[in-house]
Amino acid sequence: MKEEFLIKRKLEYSIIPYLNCAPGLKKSRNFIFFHTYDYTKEVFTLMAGYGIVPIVNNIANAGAGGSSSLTAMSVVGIGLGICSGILKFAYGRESITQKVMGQKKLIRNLAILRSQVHQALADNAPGGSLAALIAVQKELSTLVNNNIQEGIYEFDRCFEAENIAKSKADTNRLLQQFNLSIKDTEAEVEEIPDQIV
Amino acid sequence: MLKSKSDQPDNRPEIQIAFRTNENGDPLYIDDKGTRHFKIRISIQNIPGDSYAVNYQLHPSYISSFREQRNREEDFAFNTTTYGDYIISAEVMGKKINTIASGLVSDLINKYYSGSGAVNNAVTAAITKIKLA
Repeated sequence: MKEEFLIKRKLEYSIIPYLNCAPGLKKSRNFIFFHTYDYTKEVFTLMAGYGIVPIVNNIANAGAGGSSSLTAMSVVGIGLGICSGILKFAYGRESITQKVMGQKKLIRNLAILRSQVHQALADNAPGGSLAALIAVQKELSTLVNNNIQEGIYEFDRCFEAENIAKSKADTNRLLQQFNLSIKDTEAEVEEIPDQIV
Repeated sequence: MLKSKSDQPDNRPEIQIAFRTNENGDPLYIDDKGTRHFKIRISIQNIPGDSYAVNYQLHPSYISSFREQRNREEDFAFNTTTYGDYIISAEVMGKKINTIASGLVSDLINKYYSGSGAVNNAVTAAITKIKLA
């Protein structure tokens, strides 16, 4: 009973909140704009190039006494070129690139740990699930701390009330899935020692 | 990343352990087949400003020997039990550096009560029992 209670507490407060942060990472401004810049920079470059050629031609024509007019396409090209430049300035810097790459790696690592949580809960040996979860928790703790200290992600939002509520619901779902008790409360286990003699 | 602030001994984080007591100040315990498991509260003092979590490493005989606490507003405290003496360690996780604190459970309880003045015969007996277990 105590073991299942501890499994539940670990999942609710020390493991699932971190794992549930991964989708939030993908919604961060840096992440979205960096990928927008990364995926579209080639198109922008092409469009910008298309916009610049007519301008150069127009200037050359004007100098030679010809008429100067910008096509709609060249205006679009210039606009996109400016956008690309702004995105590159704001989100193409090395520090942002490193941060976003770090966040991508973090999302992958959190996904790996999530699968390890499932494997831990499926462990049928006595005390096996808790021992395996402690190993996952230690690995997760190192991962979280390294990412905080390297400035990749702060994990602050993981522990907002809304996320804790979601973590509790996810924990109950997981425990049901693996046929583990979800009825224990802190008061019920208060009179059970934590240590095995 | 891992450093201890040995240059600032007075400001280093320290583990604090106190008995959970009844209204008379006597330690509470669970009697399990003749073994007294004393109810204790473990927390951290001198917490560095950028700390956001503490990882406690308890004796391997605990059902869960690794505890992560993020309740900074409660000095990263948690309740547990102990029937014997062992070295407890805590890694105080900071946004820049981590700091390690450790100590013998009986010494840390002694230190708490020598400073608080709330010591009585039951407390002294409980500390002795933990030391001799």
